[in-house]
Amino acid sequence: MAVILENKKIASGIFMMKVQGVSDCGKEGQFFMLSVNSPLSTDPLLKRPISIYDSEGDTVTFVYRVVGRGTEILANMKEGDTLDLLGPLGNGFTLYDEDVIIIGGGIGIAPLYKLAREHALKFPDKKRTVYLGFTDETFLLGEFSALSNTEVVYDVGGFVTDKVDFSKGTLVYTCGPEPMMRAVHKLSPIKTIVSTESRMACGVGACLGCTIKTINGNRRVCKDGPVFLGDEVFYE
Amino acid sequence: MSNVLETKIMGVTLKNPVIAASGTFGFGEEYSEYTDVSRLGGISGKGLTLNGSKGNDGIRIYESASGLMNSIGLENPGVEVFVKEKCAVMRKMNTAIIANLGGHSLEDYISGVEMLDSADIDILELNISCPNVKKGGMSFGTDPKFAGELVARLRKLTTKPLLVKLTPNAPDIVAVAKACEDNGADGVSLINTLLGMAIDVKRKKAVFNNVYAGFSGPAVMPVALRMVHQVAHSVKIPVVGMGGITSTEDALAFMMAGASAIQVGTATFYDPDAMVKIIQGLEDYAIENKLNNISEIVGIV
Ligand SMILES: Cc1cc2nc3c(=O)[nH]c(=O)nc-3n(C[C@H](O)[C@H](O)[C@H](O)COP(=O)(O)OP(=O)(O)OC[C@H]3O[C@@H](n4cnc5c(N)ncnc54)[C@H](O)[C@@H]3O)c2cc1C
Ligand SMILES: Cc1cc2nc3c(=O)[nH]c(=O)nc-3n(C[C@H](O)[C@H](O)[C@H](O)COP(=O)(O)O)c2cc1C
Ligand code: FES
Repeated sequence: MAVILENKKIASGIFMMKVQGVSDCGKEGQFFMLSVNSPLSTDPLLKRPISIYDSEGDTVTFVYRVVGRGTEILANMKEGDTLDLLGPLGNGFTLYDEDVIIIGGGIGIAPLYKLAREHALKFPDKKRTVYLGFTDETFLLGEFSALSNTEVVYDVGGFVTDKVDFSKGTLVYTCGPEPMMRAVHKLSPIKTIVSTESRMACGVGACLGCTIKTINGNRRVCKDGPVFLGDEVFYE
Repeated sequence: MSNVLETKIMGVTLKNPVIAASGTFGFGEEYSEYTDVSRLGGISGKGLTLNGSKGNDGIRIYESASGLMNSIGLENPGVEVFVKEKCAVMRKMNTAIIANLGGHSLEDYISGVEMLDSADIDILELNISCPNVKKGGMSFGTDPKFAGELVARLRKLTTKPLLVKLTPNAPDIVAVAKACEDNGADGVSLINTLLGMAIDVKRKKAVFNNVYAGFSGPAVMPVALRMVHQVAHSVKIPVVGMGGITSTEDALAFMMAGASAIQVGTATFYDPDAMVKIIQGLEDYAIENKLNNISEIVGIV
C-alpha cells in the first residue's frame, strides 16, 4: 500500500501521480501494476501496468494518459488516498557509458525520464540527445531540458523520427507507439533498445498473457521485458 | 498451525483444500516472490501438452465486468521439460504438485500420461476441456462417451491419482462426470473456463484471433457453483471446485455445495495473496464454528 502525495494534470488527459511508501522504488524502465478497484470490489478486475517515470527512496512518480476506465479511476484519486500496487516489475533499462540518443513518442516518453536522469547522474560527461514526439500538446519538456549535458528536440503533430540525427550517439533507447519504434529501429544504424507494451493479467510472468514473438521465441513482456533489443523484437 | 484444514482426497493428504488453478500460477516460481507458496494446499501447473506449444497469436487477455477472457492457447514447454526441470523446482515449494495435462489426440494423452506416471508428482489432472486449442481438446470433454473412453484408456497407464478437469461447455456436465467416475477417475475438478467472446467495435472485428476465448473470474461464479453442486450430488468421487473464487466466503460456498477442495485462478492476478487470505479465513471459520476438520461442511447444502 502506498499513499498518494500528489496527483495533478500536466497536459490535457495526462496526469502525474506521486506516491510514497513503496518498499522498493525500482529502476529505470521497470513498471508497477496499479490496482484501480476499491478493496472489496472486483471491478475493474485487473491491475494496470504503468512505468516508473521517476523514483527515489520510497517514492515513485507515474505519468499516465487517461484512455479508459482504469486510468480514469486513477485520475480521480486524491492526495492522501491509498494505492495498492505490485512491483517493481520487469527487467528495466541497462545504462551504458556512451553518448545516447533517446526517442520517445506520446505517453511512451514517461519511462524515458528516469532513464535520462540516471544516465546523467552516472555518466555526467556523456551526451544525451532526447527526441520527443507529441500529437498536439507538449509535456515534460522542462523536466528533460533541466538535465545536464542533455539536448532536447521535439516535434508536435509530425514524425519526430524525421528529426533524429543518429550521429549524435552510439546507442538508441526508444519507447512509444509500436509503428514509431519500428520506424526508429529501421532507421537506426546503431544498437537500438526498445520498451514494449502488451496486455497483462498477472504482471509477474505466470499467466503468459503478455507474450510477444521475438527472434528468440516467445518472451513475456512483464518478466523478460518490457525492455528488449530492437533486433530481437522487430526481426520480420 | 492446527490441522483443521488438512484435506485427504484421492489418497493424497493436502495441508489445506486451497490449490492454485492451472494456467494462472505458472509452475509456482514466479509467484514465490509475491506470496508464501508453501502455505498452499497444492499447485496445479501450467497445462502441458506432449510436445509443448507456442500458444495463440494476437491479443491473449481481455477484461470484462468482474471477469477475464484469455486466449493463451496452452503455451507450455512440453511434458519432457516439465518432468526433467519443473518437477524438481516445484517439489522444493513444499506443497502438493499437480501436473495438468491436455492433448490434441488420444496418442498424445497416452504418451503424456506414460511419462508423467514416473514423474515426482502427487496428482495428475487431465484437462479434457481447454476450449482454446482447435483440434481435439473440446470434443473429449463435451461428450460423455469420448470422455469415458479416454479415462478408461489412461487409467490403465498410471497409478497416480487421476483428477479429470471438466468443461462447463459440455451440454450435460453431470453425464460427463459420471462417465469419468465409471471409468476409473479418482476425482473430478470443475469448472474450466466458459466460452466467451469480445468484439472491438471500432475495428468491427473480434478481439481474439480465435474469435472465442476462455472466460473466468468472479463473474462466472454462480454458474460454476451450480455445476459443482449438480456434479457433487451425482458422483461419489471427490469434487474439486473452482470458477470465480476470490474470498473465504466463496470458498466456503463451493465446499458447502460439495467441493472437497477448491482451486483459485483469476483472483491471484489482482491479489497475489488471495489464496493465503482464503486459507487463513477457512482456518478462522473452522475454529469459530468448532469444526474438527473443514471437511465437515462439504456438501451440507
Ligand atoms: C509495461 C507497460 C508500461 C506502461 N506504462 C505506461 C505509462 O507509464 N503511462 C501510461 O499512460 N500508460 C502506460 N502503459 C499503458 C497502460 O497500461 C494502459 O494505457 C492502461 O492499462 C489502460 O487502462 P484503462 O483501464 O484506462 O483502459 P481500458 O482500455 O479500459 O483497459 C482495459 C484493459 O486493457 C488493458 N490495456 C488497455 N490498453 C493497454 C495498453 N496500451 N497496454 C497494456 N494494456 C492495455 C488494461 O490494462 C485493461 O486490462 C503501459 C503499459 C505497459 C504494458
Ligand atoms: C490465463 C489463464 C490460463 C489458463 N490455463 C489453463 C490451463 O492451461 N489448463 C487448465 O486446465 N485450465 C486453465 N485455465 C482455467 C483455470 O485453471 C480455471 O479452471 C478457470 O480460470 C476458472 O477459475 P477462476 O475463475 O478462479 O480463474 C486457465 C485460466 C486462465 C485465466
Ligand atoms: S502478464 Fe502474466 S505473464 Fe506477463
